[in-house]
Amino acid sequence: MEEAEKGELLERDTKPWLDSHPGPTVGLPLFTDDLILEILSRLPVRSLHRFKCVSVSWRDLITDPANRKKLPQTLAGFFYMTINNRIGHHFASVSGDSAAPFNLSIPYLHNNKYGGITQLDACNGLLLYCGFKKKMESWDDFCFLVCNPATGRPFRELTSQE
Amino acid sequence: MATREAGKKMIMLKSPDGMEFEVEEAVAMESQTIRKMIEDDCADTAILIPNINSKILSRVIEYCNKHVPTTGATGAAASDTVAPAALAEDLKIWDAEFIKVNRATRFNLIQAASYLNIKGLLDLTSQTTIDTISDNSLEEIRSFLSTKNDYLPEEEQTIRRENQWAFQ
Repeated sequence: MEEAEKGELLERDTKPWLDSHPGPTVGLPLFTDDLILEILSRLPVRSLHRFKCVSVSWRDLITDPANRKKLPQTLAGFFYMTINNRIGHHFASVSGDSAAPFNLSIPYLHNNKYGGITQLDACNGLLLYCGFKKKMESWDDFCFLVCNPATGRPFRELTSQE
Repeated sequence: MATREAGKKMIMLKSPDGMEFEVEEAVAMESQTIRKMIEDDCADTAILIPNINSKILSRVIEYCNKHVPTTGATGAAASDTVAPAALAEDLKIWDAEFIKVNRATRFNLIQAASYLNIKGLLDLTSQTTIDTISDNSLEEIRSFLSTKNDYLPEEEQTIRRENQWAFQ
């Protein structure tokens, strides 16, 4: 799935949008990404999400985690666990499922190499999990995992130096 | 020091099309970029402002002239007589008039405000732009900012579906 997306990106005209800009014919100055961000940072959050549909480059600017602090954010919802026979991971959206800024099925929580994972803590939008093997025999069978649910990327394992 | 005793210290700003503007140092220092140059002693003669033509630069100076704080050595008396709230209201009305310019001029002002690092002017120009387009259709937004729609048709459908709530 991810590879298919990458392939598509390679085929697309990946030049920065300013290059393909009509530019001189329109007589408007060309804005750098920083200036576009500066302008977009003043949008209300709902409009900001709508503006993601303007172009691929705007979507990339708006969704880039590096730009999150500059742009308005809203509370999306809460992560929680349920423990019956097995551990279940859930997300309760506070603004309706379609409003969530990321994939609500949280694929990396259900589809990973670990025997099980438990949620330990959360800070600044990052979640800390403990991953473990089904059969725990030594400390090597445990690891700390950090993930940013908003990016939807797989876990990052913390090494002992961190 | 000599210039200060004679009155206000003046700074020469030069646009790339060769025009020269003599402005008070305090006015020029509304721009954080110029302030830094002055503080670093890089401004003993004229300061060349690249990429900002004389028409835009004169508007920027007009803005800084209006917004330079009136308090200080000469302005203390003025701020005593005029209530701060009335002053702020007056500035707001002035700003609203100032920004009644065409799109190209406004975009040039945004660039100039960004390069010269004049927060008030950047706020004013960007906010006005956002107010103009925030309720427009995607097509209108693209046309206003002359941005190309580079989504593949099925991609656009997907992103629109994912953000449906923002269209309601």
